[in-house]
Amino acid sequence: MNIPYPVFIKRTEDTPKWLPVATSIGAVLLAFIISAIILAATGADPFKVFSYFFKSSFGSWGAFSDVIVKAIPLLLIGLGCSLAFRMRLWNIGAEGQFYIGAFSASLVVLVPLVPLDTTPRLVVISLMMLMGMIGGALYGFIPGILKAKLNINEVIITLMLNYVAVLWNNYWIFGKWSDAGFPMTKAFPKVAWLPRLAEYAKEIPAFSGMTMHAGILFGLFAALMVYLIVYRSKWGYKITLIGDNPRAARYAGINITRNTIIVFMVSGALAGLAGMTEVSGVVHRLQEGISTSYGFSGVIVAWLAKLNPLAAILVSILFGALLVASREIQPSGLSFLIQGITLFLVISSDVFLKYEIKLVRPAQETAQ
Amino acid sequence: MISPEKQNPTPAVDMQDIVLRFPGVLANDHVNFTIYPGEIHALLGENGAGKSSLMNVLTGLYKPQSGEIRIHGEKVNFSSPRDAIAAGIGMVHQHFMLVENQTVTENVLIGLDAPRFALNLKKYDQEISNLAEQFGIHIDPTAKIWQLSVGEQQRVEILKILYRGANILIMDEPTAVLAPQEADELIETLKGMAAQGKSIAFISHKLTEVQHVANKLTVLRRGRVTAERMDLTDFTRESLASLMVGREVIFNLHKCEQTAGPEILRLEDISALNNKNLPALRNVDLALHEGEILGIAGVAGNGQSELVEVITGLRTCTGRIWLEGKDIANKPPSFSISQGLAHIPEDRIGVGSAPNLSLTSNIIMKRYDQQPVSQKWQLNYLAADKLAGGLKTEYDIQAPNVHTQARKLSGGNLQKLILARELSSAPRLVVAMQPTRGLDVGAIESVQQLLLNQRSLGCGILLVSEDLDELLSLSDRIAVMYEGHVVGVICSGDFDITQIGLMMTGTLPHDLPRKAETEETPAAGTPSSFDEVLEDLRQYQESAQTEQPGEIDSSSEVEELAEEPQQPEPAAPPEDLFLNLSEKERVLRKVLGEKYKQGDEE
Repeated sequence: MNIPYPVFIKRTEDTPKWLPVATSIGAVLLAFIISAIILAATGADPFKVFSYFFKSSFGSWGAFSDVIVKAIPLLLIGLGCSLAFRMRLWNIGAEGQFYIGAFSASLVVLVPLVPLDTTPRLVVISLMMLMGMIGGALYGFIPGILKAKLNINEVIITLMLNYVAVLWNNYWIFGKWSDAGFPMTKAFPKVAWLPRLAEYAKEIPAFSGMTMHAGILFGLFAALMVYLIVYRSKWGYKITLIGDNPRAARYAGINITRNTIIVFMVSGALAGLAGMTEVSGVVHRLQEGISTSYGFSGVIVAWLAKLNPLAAILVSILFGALLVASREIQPSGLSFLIQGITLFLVISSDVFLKYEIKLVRPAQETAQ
Repeated sequence: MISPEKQNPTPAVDMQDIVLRFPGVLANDHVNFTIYPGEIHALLGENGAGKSSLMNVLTGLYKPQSGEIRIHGEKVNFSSPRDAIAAGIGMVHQHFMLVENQTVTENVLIGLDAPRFALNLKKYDQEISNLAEQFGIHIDPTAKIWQLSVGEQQRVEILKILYRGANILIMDEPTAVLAPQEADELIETLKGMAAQGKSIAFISHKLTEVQHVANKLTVLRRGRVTAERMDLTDFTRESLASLMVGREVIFNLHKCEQTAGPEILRLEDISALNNKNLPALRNVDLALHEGEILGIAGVAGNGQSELVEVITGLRTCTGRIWLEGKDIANKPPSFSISQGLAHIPEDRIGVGSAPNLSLTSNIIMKRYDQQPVSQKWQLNYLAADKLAGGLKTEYDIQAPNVHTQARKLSGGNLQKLILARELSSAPRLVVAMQPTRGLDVGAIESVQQLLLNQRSLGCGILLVSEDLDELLSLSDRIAVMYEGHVVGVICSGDFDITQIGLMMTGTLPHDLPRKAETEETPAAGTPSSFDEVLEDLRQYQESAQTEQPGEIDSSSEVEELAEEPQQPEPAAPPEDLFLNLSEKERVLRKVLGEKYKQGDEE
């Protein structure tokens, strides 16, 4: 066989710091280019589509606020996943932890745990946050302890538990808490709503109609916390060490069982908090389909951000924009097409980080 | 015998003036390397000397910046490994590339175009069996890979290459993974193949082995040739070593006389199971003192790894382990670390380091919780880098900087990194398992010297090694293990390789025939030939069958005796506890054969 341009591949010894960033951006751009080609093939004008795409997500402050609303759960879930992935714990159960978090937070209103007409809003919301995180953490505890004590594959467990969580939620919203037979509960009273920008429209008229809620603060705060944990703390060092070589970590005296459980619980708590922001900040009730597969998109966010918590902020905004645009565009599958292509390209772009690839042209060869 | 060179004037491989440059490293600096058909040419050099780089040029993996390669007189220009295979060059890597669940034949056929769709395995089984026979390789083509020993798997790799029609074979440190007997068989096979006209490049850093196998020798040091196509007869072990490392290697280490201090470690009645839940340690009692090196000898797999794991807290056990008065048995590893226990693990990459993390991260592995690296909840990376930088200089770890990933270090430098981490924490007790295995001569010397330095600092050292020479030269006392028992402990004045060899086969020290003589004049007790050793063994075996081996002679000069073996079933006859005579003979030959072969020649 005669290859016209022999490819020369070699393992790279040193990866410059800018390269991972460059390949991620390159992967996203390439994903758009490939999508453009597909669009053109279907007879659409890719430039028109993309400009509309852009307008519908970044065209106005109102649109951007919608993007942020979508980005909040993605960011929280992405952060949780990136922490677990750093320890090579493949938590694919964010979707389930999200639903259980939403359910537990809703308990505050639906049981109710506190008298809603007398308790101040701050207390109700704090309690909902706490409940959401506890719910998610407990749901993360199940695969955590099974993995730590019995070494049961966490991918299978977390994946299965996703269905359990969705069906558990359905049981309550179709049954006991159903609002006039619809698969949703009654709307929460205002005291259980996360503050929105629109609420301050009286003071600042520009905020009128803006849906962005206080959940963004949780997201940013969580990103900062995860950043400090991973890059500054002793605990982050332990997680990284366990992730790279668990046997070495054990030899260094690190308790792997305990850390596996804790990381799974923290990961679950963040997903649970995302569920809480969705019921308390967006839909204001527990209902069917509160997640447009946030739990799975969060996995993509974590990977695309290369497990960096600060990069996750930007990536979740990008993915939020894709979700918002998908509402405006027919067929709406286009957004998911771009998402899929992006993930594929990001994962395959790792090749450029690990190997140096050169084309050897025949001209060069004879010159030697 | 006519040398292959004169029989056939065209070299099979002729590499001239090869220059291979990596960023910052000159891997090969105008290197010449030639092999004639029917020749085994050894390529000797330290880790990182450029041996593998040169061979990767020959197999088409790397492209040299300049230089010329001729195969059977024809100039070639490989742009991929495929070209090299087509030119009849094949390489057996140190780590095998085989599919565990497939048969030998299937593995040989992998990646070939020949069986297109329908696979007539029987036909190919026969073909491969014939090929194996031609070169004196014993293998069952229908066996699955996982059923084969490491030595047999290596034969499959060789068959793969032969089946592809290679007549130039590159063997990358082929004996590193083999047991001594398997290594002997391999060397025979290689000699047979050379006799049939194959050319073999044999990469190694084991001096004695090279002397056995090769016709010619090329030595590389730091990318340069220091000896080219020399005959092996011109060299002694010492001169080869100095060609490799560029200076005189001290084979006799500086070990100062010192008396051992108070007891630092005591094992009481330790028993433990192995990974298959079978008994691995049986009622072990041992003591170790300050400023003392206690060597643990034994054939691999007689409980040494489990002993180390039990002491370091990585394996549960019954019994007690006292480290300076504190019981550390069944405590988590973090506890014994805090009590001043340092552990140099057997598996440097799998246990001793985190390969993708930086030098710094690897250095602070056991110290991230101590000042100044630890600052409340935070980790002070500046202090950590500073600590790592200091140790990098002190222990002479060759790496671009402290942010270099551990996996980029050579074997010797990785071991230095582990030693730096473990020894710089001023340990009270060092548990070292196979600390020099796989290292080159220069690195072995520095590792051994570091251990001796710890000894003179008053640290207790437990040294597990399969290298008897290493144990003899470093240890103050040697404990011999067999089937999970400590068969006996010998003090340095009474070291006698025959006695240790016998004990490694399970012979209890008080039963050893020449005990009385060794007490007075140790040298006189050493048998002069292997036959005498076997005679001793036979005598012992006969007496053991008539007497009941159960009474421990309290006047024995051996300091400690193993507990009498606990018999799982009291009905079992006592001789069944140990190997039968022929088994013992086999082990003894393995352990002592080399020694007496040399002795007889002299």
